[in-house]
Amino acid sequence: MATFTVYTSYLLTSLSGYSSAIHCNYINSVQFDASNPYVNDINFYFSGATAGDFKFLSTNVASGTGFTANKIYMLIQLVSGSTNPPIASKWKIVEVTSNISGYTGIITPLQLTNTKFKVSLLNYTGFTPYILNNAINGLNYPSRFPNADDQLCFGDETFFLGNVNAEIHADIYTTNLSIILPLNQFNSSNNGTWDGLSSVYATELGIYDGNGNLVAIGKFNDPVEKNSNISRTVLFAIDF
Amino acid sequence: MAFIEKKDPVVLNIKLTSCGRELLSTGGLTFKSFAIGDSEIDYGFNIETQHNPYYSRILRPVDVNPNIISFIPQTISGDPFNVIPSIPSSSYIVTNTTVPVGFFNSGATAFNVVGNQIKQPDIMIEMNQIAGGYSLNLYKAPTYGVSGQEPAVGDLLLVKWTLNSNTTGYIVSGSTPTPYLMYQISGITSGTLAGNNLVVTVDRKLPNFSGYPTTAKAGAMAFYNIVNLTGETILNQFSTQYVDESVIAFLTNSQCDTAIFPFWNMSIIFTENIAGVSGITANPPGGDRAFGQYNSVIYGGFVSYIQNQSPTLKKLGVIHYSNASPANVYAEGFYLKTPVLDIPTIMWHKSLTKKMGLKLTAWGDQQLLTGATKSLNLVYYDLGDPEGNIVGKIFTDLKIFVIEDQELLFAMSYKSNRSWTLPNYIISNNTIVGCI
Repeated sequence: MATFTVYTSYLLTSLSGYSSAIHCNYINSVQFDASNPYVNDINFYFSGATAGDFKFLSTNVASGTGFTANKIYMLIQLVSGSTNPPIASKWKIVEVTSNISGYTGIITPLQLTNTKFKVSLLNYTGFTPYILNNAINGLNYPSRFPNADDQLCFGDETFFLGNVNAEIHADIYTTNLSIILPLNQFNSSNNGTWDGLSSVYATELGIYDGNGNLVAIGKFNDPVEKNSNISRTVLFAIDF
Repeated sequence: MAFIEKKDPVVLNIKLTSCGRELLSTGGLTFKSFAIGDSEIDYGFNIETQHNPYYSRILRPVDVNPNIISFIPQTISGDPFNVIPSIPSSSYIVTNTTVPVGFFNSGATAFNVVGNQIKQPDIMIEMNQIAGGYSLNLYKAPTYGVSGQEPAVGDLLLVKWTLNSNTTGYIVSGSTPTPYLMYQISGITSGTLAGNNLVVTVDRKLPNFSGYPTTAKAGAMAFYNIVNLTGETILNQFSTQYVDESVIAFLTNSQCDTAIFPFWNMSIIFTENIAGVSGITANPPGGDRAFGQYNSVIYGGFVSYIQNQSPTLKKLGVIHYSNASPANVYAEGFYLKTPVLDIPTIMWHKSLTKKMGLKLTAWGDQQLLTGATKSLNLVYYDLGDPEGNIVGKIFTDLKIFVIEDQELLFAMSYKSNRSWTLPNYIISNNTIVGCI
């Protein structure tokens, strides 16, 4: 006995006008122990999903809304072991449209959610390889050649076709300094025009480092009067 | 140089001098003493004119500020320099609301067709002329005239495929969900849009609507294919083609006018091949383009980084605000759970109603991004739809959104040929009876 992992996805294709699109990008897996992995059926169903989950799947192309599907395929890959991932070039594709009871050419949401799709691994080696460019008519997956640069590819997205709304914030770190100018201090000036009697008027405040460098400078928006009858507290903050 | 606006209450306009900033850059900035000055007061003049000094105007502080030349010392003959006893520090948060940024109006009901965000918003397609193939006739929509720009090779063409007559590609009607598919114009066959006879070729096969009524018309828009921010900018309002590192450094200390870049970027990053990509030389010739050749390869390191260097998801979508504008639109980060992503053209299978459009917001409490062996310790919120279905993360400090839902990634891709998501499913196995 050995452990095997089966990876799956599915693909809906359209024959009724709209282009077929890429497979579902939810890749699920199931593991089992077996001496012969091919004697297994893989069941695939939309458990928990309702027809409402296919609300945009239209059965009437002329309605002009949503998308349509005419065929459903199961993508499948059998891998040895329990941790090995699938290999992009090793996928197989199997049409399972015939599993749908009452299928009349166009797939309805109810048909998808009411059907248990089944693929037997007995014929696994004979399944058609899933090659993106062949399986999805119209995707035109580009080659490695530089002259294919005029074809869009995955990873070419540049613009976000949407809006962003947000409130923003900034963290402000503040150094707070409080300087008290009591009644009997800071009442004189060495300004050559001061008369030695009148009030002094402060216009600026300098902050110095230990080497006498003026490292910050503050200016009052109004000259601040100071005399022996006025005490002041100067609060100021430097934001970082 | 300017004078300070006089206003109440008395405030102190303070800033680091150039000397202070230089010392800060070398880690040597200290505050040891302060001095009060009255350099701009002429006491004699005030006495002579009986002018109240309180009403005098004072110069603003500047980077290279002149020395203080007269002081008000503590005592009449004392040292003007006074020791600063202690330097307490505190922090607080300021918040603000930004303007909505993106391709759509505030209600997300229409593309913004102004401001050069869209090269040509008024293109019309006669649906019954679309018969597969690569050739596409483009006509002037009835609303033609907002832009005279002609679609060109390399431009992106966003087509609103609908069999109803809806020629205004820029109007998004959520109640009539229609596929919005992006093509690239690979050639101009003949004519002009202005001449109402433009024929272009596109990068991949078109749908086949031949036989449908002639009344069916679809709207389309042409986009510039790149965001060219150096040299010939696509945005006339953008004034920062001169921006380089030194200019940005300068701008942090000045108040130069800067434009708000009008939309966000999206990068869907692949670090593995998509199922069905052969990677061999069989078909098409030369082999399929591998993920290492995608343009998103430049973001490859991010996929590992944002998963603590232990990636489990190999494909991620990143919505980011990368541009050369020095405008600090989003400050230091998004504020808590306020960010909202509006994606009006997606048909999301988990929506409760059959209405096109997806609004994604923050869900739950703030979380910390940690890993088993290495941790970024980065805060984030889950990003979810209105019903709480989680599709990714909001990294508020990085100011980015990450889309993890693998189906939503494909629906948002330009290449996947669909703008709708497909539901998840269950698989199981059973051994075939009689074959054991």
